[in-house]
Amino acid sequence: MAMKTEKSAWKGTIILSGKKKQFDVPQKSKVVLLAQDQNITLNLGKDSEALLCVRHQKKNDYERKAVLKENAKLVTVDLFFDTSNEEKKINLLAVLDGEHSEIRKYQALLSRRLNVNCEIEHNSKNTTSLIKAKGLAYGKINYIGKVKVNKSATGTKAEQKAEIILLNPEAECQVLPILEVENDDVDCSHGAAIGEIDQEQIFYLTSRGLKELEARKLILSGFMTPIIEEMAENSWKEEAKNKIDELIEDETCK
Amino acid sequence: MSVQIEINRELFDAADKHRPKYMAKPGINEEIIRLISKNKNEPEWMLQKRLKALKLFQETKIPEWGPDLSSLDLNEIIYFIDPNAQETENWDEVPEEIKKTFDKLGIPEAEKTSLSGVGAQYDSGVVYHNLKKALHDQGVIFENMDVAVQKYPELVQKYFMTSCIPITDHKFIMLHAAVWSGGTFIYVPKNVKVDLPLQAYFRMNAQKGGQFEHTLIILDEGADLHYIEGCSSPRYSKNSLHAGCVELHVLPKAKMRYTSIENWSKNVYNLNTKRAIVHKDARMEWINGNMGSCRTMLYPCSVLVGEGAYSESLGIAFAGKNQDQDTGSKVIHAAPNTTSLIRSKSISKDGGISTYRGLVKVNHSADNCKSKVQCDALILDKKSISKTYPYMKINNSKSEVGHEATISKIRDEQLFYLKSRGLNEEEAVKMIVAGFIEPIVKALPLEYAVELNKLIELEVHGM
Repeated sequence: MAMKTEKSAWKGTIILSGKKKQFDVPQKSKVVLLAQDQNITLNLGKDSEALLCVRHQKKNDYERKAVLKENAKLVTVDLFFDTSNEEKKINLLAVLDGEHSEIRKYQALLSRRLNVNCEIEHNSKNTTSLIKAKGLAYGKINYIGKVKVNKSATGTKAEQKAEIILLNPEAECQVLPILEVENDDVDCSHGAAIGEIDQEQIFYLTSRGLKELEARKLILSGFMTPIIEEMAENSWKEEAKNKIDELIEDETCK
Repeated sequence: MSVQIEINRELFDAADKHRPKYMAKPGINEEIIRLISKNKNEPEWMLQKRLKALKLFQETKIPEWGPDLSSLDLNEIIYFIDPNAQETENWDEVPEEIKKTFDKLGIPEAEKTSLSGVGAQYDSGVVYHNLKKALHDQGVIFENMDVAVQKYPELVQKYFMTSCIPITDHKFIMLHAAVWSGGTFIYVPKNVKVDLPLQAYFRMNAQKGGQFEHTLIILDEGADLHYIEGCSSPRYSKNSLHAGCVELHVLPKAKMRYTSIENWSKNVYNLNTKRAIVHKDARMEWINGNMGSCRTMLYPCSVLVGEGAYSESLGIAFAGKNQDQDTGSKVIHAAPNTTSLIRSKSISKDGGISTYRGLVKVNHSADNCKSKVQCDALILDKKSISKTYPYMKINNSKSEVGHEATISKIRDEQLFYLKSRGLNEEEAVKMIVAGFIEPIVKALPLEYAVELNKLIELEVHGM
């Protein structure tokens, strides 16, 4: 999928506060948006580009909707990081309304109790989507990823991937990647993998002199890196990495 | 694309002018249940089971998920039909009309090729049941379910809709438990290996005839069996319902392969339930083909209850015009070191909907489980729909579960390549489709693969 965007090309960072529920990206503009847990409606105008980074640390439910017009491109990076025992429901919907619109979604699933429903609707010709979700489960993760390709959306390309590593014996995880395709001119795939940390990798690193906990940290943070690296804000990146290390320490010693 | 792919239905869509001996009035009530039970001279416990199931059925709502069942009127269905023929061991005694139907379906040929036994269900009674003497000597029981209730009461009472599929399972199982009739009962004793596949053919014939056959197979420790079930039914204008039930008990170290090709006519609602309980070190293999019926809801399930149990499932579904094929496989890992593999292929065409709806569940106690699911779907035209719903519920951190699915059409490059080698478009499409379903066809025994070619395999016609 040719969806490379140079990060240096991004201009202007806008922080969405809790009050601002709707944001319109004007035609042909490029923006970086930073947000916390909140309901957001995002409208991307023709030829616009946006990078949306969201930190989810609170316990509330919320919804997000993005509508993309012709040629619009949206990259979203979601970092779910709420270690409380509270269950929350998060609905994410993206509609590819204009021809040649593209969306890429990166999600780090690191909350203890998480209910994510992530849906992409392909409504127009030659639209492209990618969902990449990675997570470490130590509580209860319930993840639904849905790609819907409507009759009119010929030439659709859609890829969906969910990978979850179960950190400890209490972890429970439900994954449901859904594909609904209503025309034949498509290229759709999805994959999901759930498992434990690779024991061979741990063996390799411990045989090189690392302690087991260090080895686990190295492997698991390496596993999450591709998602974290998509974040625009450097301070957020560092924070996320530290938090992941802490989490691994806390949850694997149990 | 000026190519048409069709399943040749002419063979089985012709109905015989056959008069059933007894036909109940449409609809279901306690009277009919008592009548069925009396007609079969059943023991009291079976009647009670039926009545209990009827009560549950009347209290339970039709499931709201999955394909649309709104046009299915359960009060229009005839729940019991007894065919004209008496059960017979001799092919010559089978009535001419019934023979003709079987001839069309190739049953005698299948027998000629030395299949070990043919039990063919004609409507609700078994008309022809043949078992080779050698098998009988080995202690293998291959019997009509109705007869088995009388002849082997302990085995049947122990296993019939108890631990595998209880009567409370879902609405259509409740219905099945209330009105079930006919089917197959097989018991393979300890360490007995049945070399040739056992086969039974089910067929619905009377208009609006419901088919509620019950299959119960018990493989004792170390036993080995391949069972083949084929379904075909003539087409009628009114809706028909098939709600069968298959229960398999695969005891430790036993090996079971269950092949089923279901090709109901296009007005049939095929709401079937199949489940296997797989014990320690046992092996279960499902091979499923779903070609016919207007709505199919069928999810063969393996429950791996013993350590080291293995389940494999291969499935193919074809959805043509007005068809909604909602199929998939379920595996429940309830013991450590269990393994499962699911491969599913579907083709949709002429506005057909094919859906993969599967489940992989790993329980808390099931350490070191491995499961792999692979689904591929082919959409042959713009009108058709393909869906995938692979549920994964993992409650154990020492397991590995993977799922992969793709949905695509026949690539222009593939067609171009084959055409540049001298094939016309029709041949090229045919070849690609044949290649797509090959892994499933290859898993069938030779006789059946031939029959499959004759009856079920896709036929490609130029327009």
